[in-house]
Amino acid sequence: MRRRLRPIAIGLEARVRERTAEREDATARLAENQARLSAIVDSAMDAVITVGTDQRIVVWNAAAEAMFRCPAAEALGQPLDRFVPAAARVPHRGHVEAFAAGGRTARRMGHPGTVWGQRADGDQFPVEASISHATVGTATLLTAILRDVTERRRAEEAHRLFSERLQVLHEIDRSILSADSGPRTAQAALDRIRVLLGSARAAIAEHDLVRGTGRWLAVSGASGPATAEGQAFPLALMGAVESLRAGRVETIAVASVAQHAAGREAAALGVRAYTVVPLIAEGQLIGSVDVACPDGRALDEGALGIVREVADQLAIALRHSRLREQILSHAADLERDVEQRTRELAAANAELSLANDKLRDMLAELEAARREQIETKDRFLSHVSHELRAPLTAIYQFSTILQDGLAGALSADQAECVDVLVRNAGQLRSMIDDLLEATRADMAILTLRRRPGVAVDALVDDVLQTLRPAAAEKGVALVHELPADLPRVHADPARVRQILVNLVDNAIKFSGAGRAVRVSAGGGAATPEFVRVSVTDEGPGLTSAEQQQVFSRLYQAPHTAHTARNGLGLGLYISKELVQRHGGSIWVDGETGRGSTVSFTLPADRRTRAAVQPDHTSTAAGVLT
Amino acid sequence: MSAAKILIVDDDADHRLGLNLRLRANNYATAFAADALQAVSTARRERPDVVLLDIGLPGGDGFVVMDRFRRNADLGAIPVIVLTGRDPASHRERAIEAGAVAFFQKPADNAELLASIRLALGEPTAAA
Repeated sequence: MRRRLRPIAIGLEARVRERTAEREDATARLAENQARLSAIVDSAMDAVITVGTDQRIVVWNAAAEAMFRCPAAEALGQPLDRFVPAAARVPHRGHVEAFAAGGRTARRMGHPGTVWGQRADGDQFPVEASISHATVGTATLLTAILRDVTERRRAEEAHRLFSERLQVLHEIDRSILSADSGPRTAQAALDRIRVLLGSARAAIAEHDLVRGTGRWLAVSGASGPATAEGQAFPLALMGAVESLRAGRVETIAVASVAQHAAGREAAALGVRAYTVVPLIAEGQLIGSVDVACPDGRALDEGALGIVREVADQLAIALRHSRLREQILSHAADLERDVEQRTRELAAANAELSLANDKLRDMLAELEAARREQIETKDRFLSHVSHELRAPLTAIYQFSTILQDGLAGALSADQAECVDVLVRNAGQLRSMIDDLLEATRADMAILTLRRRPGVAVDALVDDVLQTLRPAAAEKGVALVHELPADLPRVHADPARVRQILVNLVDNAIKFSGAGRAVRVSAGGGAATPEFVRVSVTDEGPGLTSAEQQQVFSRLYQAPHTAHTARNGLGLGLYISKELVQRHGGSIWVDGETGRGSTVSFTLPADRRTRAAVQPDHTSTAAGVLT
Repeated sequence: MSAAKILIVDDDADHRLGLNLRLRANNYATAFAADALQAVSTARRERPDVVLLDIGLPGGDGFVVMDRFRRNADLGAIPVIVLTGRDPASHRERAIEAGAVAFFQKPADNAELLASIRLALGEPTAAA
């Protein structure tokens, strides 16, 4: 039997050994796995905590030890509640149980700021958590992975504060740029300060150190009539001005300023103390930010830092605002000034315009008066001339009747007397003519009736014919030398004739018996626009001084003045005026003892310049005596 | 051939007399008027061949007289020579425009005046 059982036992033993080996191997592998897992869990940055169904801790890694400041030896087996803040324990347990039952929680896990942990020493801190659960047999294991977000939350808070401050400073900047008034800038800054500090009561004031008063620019929270915006207050409310000027912050107990209305109002509103932060721009104290101290305590460093930072910016903004107001006010003054000046200028202009009108009227009157005077004078001259001519005409008529023997034959002596009479009547007549013409030249009312195509040679012929008797009487020869192609002129033929008569008559007067008076003309090579006519005598000639004077009014050649009557001396003057009215010029050449030549020019008539008579090809010369 | 008749219109008696002597010596018949009205009526009655007309006249000036002549069929063709003390600068052109055949300012040169009369009568100018 034993022998029969022995192989079975041996088989069983072998199988037991086999199984044992297998189990040992498995155990070793498990241990190895656990060690590896532990190493992973322990080396994790986040805390890994596992609790059993009874919510006691079964896993507590190295990060958990550090986070909760509790070694694993102490934590393992402890209820999880120990690491949850007392206030959160009941709801926390509910959440955990609900999660264990359904794998879900009403809370959104991992949302920052919603889960709090409590360290072994009681310190509380915010965590971010993710939770998973596993069922092992009947037991449910919950594993939470936790991260301490204290630093992150602090950074976030700091960032938020920083953003807020930036926002304040930005708004102040914006109010500078948008040219806001001082009160509006102050109000914007004040709104932000209240947000940043959570302080219910704050105000911003500007100071007038000269008057010793302040004025509220912006006031937040409840206020009374003494602390209303725009209201003035004594600077004593702000503590020591010297201290503020130096940039120091003053904290004032409301009880110490109870003598002022604003102080009493603050007290009535429950303020016990307030902090005054100076506003300093360009070294000048211009105002203050006043913040009520919460619970009567001075502001902490952080709050004060914020206020100072805002105050610095605000001071610049207010300074800008004040400067801008000054500039605007100055600009407005200037504008008023300019308007005033403009009005004055307009008035002055109106006056000037009026004066101009008056002056114009006066000038017009003067001109009218002058014209009337000229017309009156001309009428008078015409009248005088007319009246003088009536007796002159009678003298001329009857003396020529006698001279011509129409009233009977005369003796030789009688005939001589009558000749003198006739000659003098002629002189008187030409004097009256000259006087009238010269006076008209003086008044610039010599009239011209210019026409084109006036032939100078024909006029010369005519004048020489007319003066021939007078020349013959003196034994003077009249000669003309006119080129056949002499251009025609644009002139008044009657006036040209008048000029020629004056010049030739003058030349005859200065020539002795046996002498000649020569009339020549030319196209004027140098000045083709003009025709030149010259009258040359062989008389005594003129000195250069005389040459300059002959065309002046009332000129009398000195060596002829005593010997003979030569009219009024107006001939050359009238000739000069007539030539000039035509646009020409007149001059005299020659020297003493060699005779003289008077020349004048007249504008050539361009249209008829080429129209010369073809049969006059050579210079025509003739003696007309 | 009867002598040409010349009407002398002038308010100056001396002038009328002087011209009368001068014209008669040159074999012209003469008639006289001393104002504008007389000038027209005398011209109608006497039918002169030439009129020597002054400008300054009582009862209407020489231009009025010329205008009357111009409107009258019998008198319109009679040549008028203006002989006046007035300024030629302001009257010559006007007189020619009004129908005068010549203009002389007093005192007129005897030879020139006679030449003008002969021209107006259509006589040869060489005749003396």
